[in-house]
Amino acid sequence: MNRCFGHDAGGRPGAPLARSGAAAWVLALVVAALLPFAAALAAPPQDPDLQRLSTELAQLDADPMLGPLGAVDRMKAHQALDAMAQTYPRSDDRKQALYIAERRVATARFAAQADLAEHQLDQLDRERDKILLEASRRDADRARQEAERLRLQNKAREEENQRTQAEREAQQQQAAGLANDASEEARALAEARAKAAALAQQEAALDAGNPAGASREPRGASFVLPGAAFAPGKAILRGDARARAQVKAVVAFVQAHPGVSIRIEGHTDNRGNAQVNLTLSQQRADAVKDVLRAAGIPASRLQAVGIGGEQPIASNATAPGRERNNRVEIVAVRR
Amino acid sequence: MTPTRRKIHRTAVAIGLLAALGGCASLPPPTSELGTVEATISVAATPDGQRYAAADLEKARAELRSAQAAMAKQDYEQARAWAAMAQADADLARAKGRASGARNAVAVKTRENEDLRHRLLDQEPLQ
Repeated sequence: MNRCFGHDAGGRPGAPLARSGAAAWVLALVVAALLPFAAALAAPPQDPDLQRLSTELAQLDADPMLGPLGAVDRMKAHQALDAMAQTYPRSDDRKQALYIAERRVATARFAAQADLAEHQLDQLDRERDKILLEASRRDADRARQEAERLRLQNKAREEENQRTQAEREAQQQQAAGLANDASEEARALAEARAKAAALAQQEAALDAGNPAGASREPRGASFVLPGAAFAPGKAILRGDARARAQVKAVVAFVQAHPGVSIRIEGHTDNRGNAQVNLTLSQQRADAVKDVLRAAGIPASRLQAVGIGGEQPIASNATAPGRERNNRVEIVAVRR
Repeated sequence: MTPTRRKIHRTAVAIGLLAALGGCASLPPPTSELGTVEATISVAATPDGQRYAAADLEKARAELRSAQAAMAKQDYEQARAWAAMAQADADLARAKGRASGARNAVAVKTRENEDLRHRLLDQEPLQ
């Protein structure tokens, strides 16, 4: 290194400072004579090994990546070169100084490389953490999305279930008059049906010459199917338009009372054998029950009984009275 | 200049010379230097050091032995010289081992990260 030489070289030309003219001239000459000597002192040392190692270390210092790294070993390398420069041109301990300087310069390079690699290791560790973090974030996102998807799927399934349920209920109501109390639509539907049933009932009653039709009695709403709907003395419903309208009215009545038990009572007038009348009334009630079951009313809601002529609603003394007594009453049993 | 002054000057020079000689003679044995060399060698003798700087480690050990032999002969100057060389070789071995080990680790971790990125992030891109 020429740092130490530079010092000496800088000191020498600054020395002469004289006032008197002659002395100044002499001093100027002296300085001029000394200058080449100073330049020789300031010139780089002639030790090729030192030059080689100095260049190597300077390159390391200038390296943009390694330059700032391995500071301690770099300092030791500079010190070793300085020590080596001190030994020149003496050769007694120069060999040892060169040996050490060689190793110190190499050590400085390896130390800087090690620092760089360790720095890169830190960065790689951070990168790994970032990857894992990002992966777990994506996992969480995926889990959230999956949960959301399942939630929506469940919701859709639930809605579908509700829709199916509603449809089924609507169908049941259509078929059997089962109303879903909870459902506004079903209630509206039931009301509409009740209205239709009432109209059909009035129509049937008018047709049957039986203005009583449906009535509201203490035991529950009831509907009367006139005995004329049956073949005389038999439990077979007539097939004519009038009978069919009456039967339709019965079904409408039952549908208008969803969810309640339906009691079907067969009645006759008091003519003929009471036992025969009882059997006939039971068979007619059963026939009506069959019709209602065929219309989709569950059998569990239907109870058919034969009462015979025990409960007349009109005089058996007259033909119109007897005709009114001959009937099947359909009672929506009040709960 | 009086003879007295010249005499005084001579005496001063002699005293200075003696002091300098005494100083040289009283240089302590490089015990701590040898201890540092031993410590550095044991630090440098990692698996990486053994693998990538075996020759430097061996030189350092040989120089340490020479230093110890010089110490036994109470040739402290020689011992100090051998110790300095041994220290330079031990430091070199340590730096070489560190650099090689760290470079290998960088290669391994770079591959690991690429693999991890590929497995965790590239395969199932998030919609």
